Amino acid sequence: MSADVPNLGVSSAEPPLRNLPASLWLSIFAFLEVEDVRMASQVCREWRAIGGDDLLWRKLAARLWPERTLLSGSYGGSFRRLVLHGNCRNAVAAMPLAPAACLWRPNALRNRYYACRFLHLELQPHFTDAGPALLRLFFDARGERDLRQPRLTSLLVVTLRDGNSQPQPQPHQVPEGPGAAAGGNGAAAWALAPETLELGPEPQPLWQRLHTAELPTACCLVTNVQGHFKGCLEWTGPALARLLHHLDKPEASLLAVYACDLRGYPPEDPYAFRNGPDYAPAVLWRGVSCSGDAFGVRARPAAGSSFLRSWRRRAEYHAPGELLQRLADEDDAAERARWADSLPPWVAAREQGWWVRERAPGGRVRGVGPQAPPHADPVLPDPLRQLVEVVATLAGFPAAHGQGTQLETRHGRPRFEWQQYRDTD
Amino acid sequence: MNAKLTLTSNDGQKFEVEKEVALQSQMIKGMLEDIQSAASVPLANVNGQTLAKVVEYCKFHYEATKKGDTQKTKAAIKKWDKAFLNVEQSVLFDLILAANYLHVESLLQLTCQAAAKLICNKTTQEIRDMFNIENDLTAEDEAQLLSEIEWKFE
Repeated sequence: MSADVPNLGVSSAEPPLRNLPASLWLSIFAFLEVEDVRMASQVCREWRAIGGDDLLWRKLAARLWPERTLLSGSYGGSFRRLVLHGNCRNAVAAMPLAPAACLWRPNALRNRYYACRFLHLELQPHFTDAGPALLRLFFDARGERDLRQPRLTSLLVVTLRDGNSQPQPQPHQVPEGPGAAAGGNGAAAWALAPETLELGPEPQPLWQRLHTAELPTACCLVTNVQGHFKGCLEWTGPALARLLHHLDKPEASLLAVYACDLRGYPPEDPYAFRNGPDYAPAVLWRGVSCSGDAFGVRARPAAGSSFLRSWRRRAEYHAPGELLQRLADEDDAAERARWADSLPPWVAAREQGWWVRERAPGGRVRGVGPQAPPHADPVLPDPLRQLVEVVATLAGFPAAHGQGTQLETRHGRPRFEWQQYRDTD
Repeated sequence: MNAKLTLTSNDGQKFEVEKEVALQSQMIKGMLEDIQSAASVPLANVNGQTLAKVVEYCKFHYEATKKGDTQKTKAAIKKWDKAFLNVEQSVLFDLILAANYLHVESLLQLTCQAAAKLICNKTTQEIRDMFNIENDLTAEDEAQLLSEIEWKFE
């Protein structure tokens, strides 16, 4: 009988496991989650002191955010406060999106190629002490001379479905060339980059499951030349609130369509589709109702978790404004590397038409972005600015005024120019 | 080549290991830098049972790193570590102390993580019961604790 429980006898005879010095308990606590630390610091006096040690919180913070964003100075020197506030003054979470893309569907211009790559999704879902809630989408759009401005870019929240329901995600195909595209009706031969949906001639099924479509509230272009737009779009205020409301559902998927205003679809007149969405939507996030095994989806949520619940775990952390700066500092080689894998050979061969930046050596930059001369910073005359503020307050979206520049201005005057779009409701 | 080193625990047990294996301990490494001819190291703070485990750990990891850094060996190391940590609480805490004393960083991280797993997802009272800790916080302390720490989340 007694042979059955020798281990128990030994361990209960041992003194309680408190002979560990506080420094070692601290090393152990550093592997805990915040909620566990809260529980542990109510155990006894010694543990309470450990739980209040800022060195512990420094270690916890190092597990959650990259080293360069751990500036406790923003939190009165307290790492505990930094962790409990989500380090939102120093770090923003951004989800890399490659290789999501949006391609032009050749309606009439069969010989031309337009594409937009969505690079990162940056989201701060709550109002924080560092700034308003915002969602930013970083993109790089290229095309021929008549590439559209991104201001009508729509973010859609829809429910994607599996199986034989339409629309189906299309695998990546490289088009054979302008000749092939010109033959037949064009749409079948055209490429769709990974993770884009073909709308098809009758995109009704997608609109039936559309929860909301929102236009950006602000935009910042770091490259603004003919045929090449690069920068970020921002959603704030009521538009963001609607997006987040629908994104909280586990089955919700997030789609983006470049330069197409998709609010109010489907239009009453089906004929209007001809002039409607002519970029294919890119799937930025896939809801749980769609397995997406067909073509290696990058962001696949765990069962039962919505975008809002699981995106933080997948996100990378950056200093505020860092991504935009990095986008602006990119050189030509880095941009080419980004496009190299998805560009059809016949487009890549057409150097002069595609790589617009080299085609326009400085001449066509329209005063926006880092190339702009320093005196180009937009300063509204005071009465005019007051008028803008008054109008904005009356219209019920005071938060939308000048938000875009807020993060960038902390270390000096704004580096980039933001265009505020009028929120229609 | 392959010089041997004898480690002696505080209860007199002797372990003969290769020098390279023992050098994973920063404490022994430092000691050997001072006394290069040493062939025997007495370890006053570690008992025989624990030292046997530490030596086992160091030997395995020395062999594993020699083999190379492929994905397969990494998975094997992880599996081995898991089995290695399948011990009683008291042994685990002895290991933490020994790893700290001998300054074997990887073992310290491993054991601390295992100890943290014991604590996580438990209520305060459950933790107290598990470690036989008496609650020496007065009611006043506890009230103060709840008010002063702003456990505020986003």
